[in-house]
Amino acid sequence: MVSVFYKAGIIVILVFIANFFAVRSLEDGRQGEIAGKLEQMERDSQNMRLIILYTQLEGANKTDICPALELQTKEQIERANGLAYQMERYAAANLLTSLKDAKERYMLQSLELWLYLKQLESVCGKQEISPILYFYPEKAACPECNAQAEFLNSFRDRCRNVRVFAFPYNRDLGLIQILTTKYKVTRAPTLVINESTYEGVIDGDKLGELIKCAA
Amino acid sequence: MGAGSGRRIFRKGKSGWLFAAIAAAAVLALVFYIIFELVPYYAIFLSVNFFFLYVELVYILKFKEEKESKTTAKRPFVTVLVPIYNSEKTLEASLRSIKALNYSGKLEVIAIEDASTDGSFGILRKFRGIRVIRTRTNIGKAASLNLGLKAAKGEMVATIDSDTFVRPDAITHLAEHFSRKDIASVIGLISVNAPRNLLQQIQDVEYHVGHGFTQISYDKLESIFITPGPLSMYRKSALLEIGGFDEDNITEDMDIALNLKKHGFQIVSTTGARAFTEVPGTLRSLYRQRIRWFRGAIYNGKKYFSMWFNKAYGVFGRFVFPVSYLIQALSIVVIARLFQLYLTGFLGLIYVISQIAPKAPDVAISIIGSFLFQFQSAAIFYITTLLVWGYVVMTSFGITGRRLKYIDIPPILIFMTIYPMFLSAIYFISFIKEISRSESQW
Repeated sequence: MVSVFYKAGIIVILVFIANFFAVRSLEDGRQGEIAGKLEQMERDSQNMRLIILYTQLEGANKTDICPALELQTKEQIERANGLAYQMERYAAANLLTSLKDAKERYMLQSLELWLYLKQLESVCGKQEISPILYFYPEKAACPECNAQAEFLNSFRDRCRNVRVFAFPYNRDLGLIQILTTKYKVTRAPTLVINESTYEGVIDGDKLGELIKCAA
Repeated sequence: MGAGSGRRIFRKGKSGWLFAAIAAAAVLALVFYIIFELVPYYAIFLSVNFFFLYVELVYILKFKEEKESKTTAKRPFVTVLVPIYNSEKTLEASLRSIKALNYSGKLEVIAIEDASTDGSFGILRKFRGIRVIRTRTNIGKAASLNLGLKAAKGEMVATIDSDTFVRPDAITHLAEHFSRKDIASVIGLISVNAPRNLLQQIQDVEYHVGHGFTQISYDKLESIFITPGPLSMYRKSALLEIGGFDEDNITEDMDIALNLKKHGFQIVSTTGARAFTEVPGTLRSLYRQRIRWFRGAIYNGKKYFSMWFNKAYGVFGRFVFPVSYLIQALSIVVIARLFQLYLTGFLGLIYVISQIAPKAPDVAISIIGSFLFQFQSAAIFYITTLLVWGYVVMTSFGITGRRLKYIDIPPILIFMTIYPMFLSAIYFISFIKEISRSESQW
């Protein structure tokens, strides 16, 4: 007769295997959802690059390209919205799967998107979109940042003209270092609104004072 | 005697224990820090989780095994020992239940009144047919039991706490299980007497699991290592052979059981012998009780260390005894890691509640919600353990035949989730107190 110690060992191994595959399946689903959204963002960026390349080659006038650029930028910003927050939550909840690559791709996409918005303004003039640059810490606990993220999400949901671009201020990446130096970002959370830098948590009322909200 | 006999046991003078406690805590904190830096948190949680699951499955599988329970028709002379110290609230009812014992063999009752300062002696005098031994000074429970043991005329000695109420057939059920010469003790099924608040209801669940399910599993593994103070019966010759109760031990019921096992005796259990005992009704009294129990357990673990992983003691030495300590140690590691992991999150919640909630309640609710309700993948691994643990609780209630009601759900849920953390924290404090050798009190 098999001892209870062996029986228990076999059951534990089987339970572990079953649990492992259940977790794997759950996290694969999450990763697939994020990957799908990122791919869409990347396709949008490619589309944008083509429009800009066409502008540079053909020297098209503003009336031809600005509506297409504006539409493309708005659509892309819409898609990016919420993805960062979703990724943070999945990353915190995942056990076996890291979203490091996805986060990296998202951050590069956000930077590119912000640059397109800048380019759109330089080519087509002032846009109705008001960007907020939000700097948070990477791999560091920041209770204030959780609060700031919620205030920004809430404000963005209320104001259709507001778009938030979130970047880890302590990331060793050329463009981010250029931005943190330019805007004198030394701690988190820090916001850049209309080229001015604000340190610490900025609540919804204060955001309303800094940016005109288009409901 | 149940709530405590008041006698203080000094393992070391008062001076210096605080310093030793701080030093011990600092060393442990350093050890934890190194472990947490080297081992990823999920590796700690998962390995501990599956270790708990394994241990629980061993006990469940053993619990479900059929074992023939041999009984004897002999009804030996039984002496009931009732140590008493400041028990005026429960003593009368306890003695009434003892007087109502229905035992066909010869029975004597000896009450050892250990210099109570309340009205216990007055209550005791109202009862006829009880031999009373009164001490001049408070000598403690173990010493009281040894006095009773010297005076006992019975072949068997039953100990019943003065805050415990026994069923009339309890002694009969205990006595009939002394079917072999090597059985030195038979223990009964202890339940909580009429739980009156949530804390006592949680302990009621705990007693069902501990004295019901776990005790039966231990019995089948020949590994019972506590003869509960509220109700146990011993073969007097075995007690005399091992020198009686250790008077310097704050958990004499564990010490006597381990001592019996060390001398090759067996301890068996029966669910037929039922007793109902009073349990702490406040967190403060529960804390004090558990500090005593856990310090006693740690002390006994050290005293009987030669039995750890010792093949001579069978499954008990190789598995049950060391695992009982390992589980406590691992629980402390997990709780320390949880504390470290979620401290930042809790600080964030405090910030949200204090700073944001007054200005923007909707935002605060959203933050708290995402903190509390994000489904963690790791939860899947713990669900199985919780289901197994839930099965154990349900089975334990089945042993006593008690039907579960909706009002039992909150104490069961607390028992399965928060309560073990609370106990582990007390275990940790007990460990610090024990290694710093602070004064301990029965």
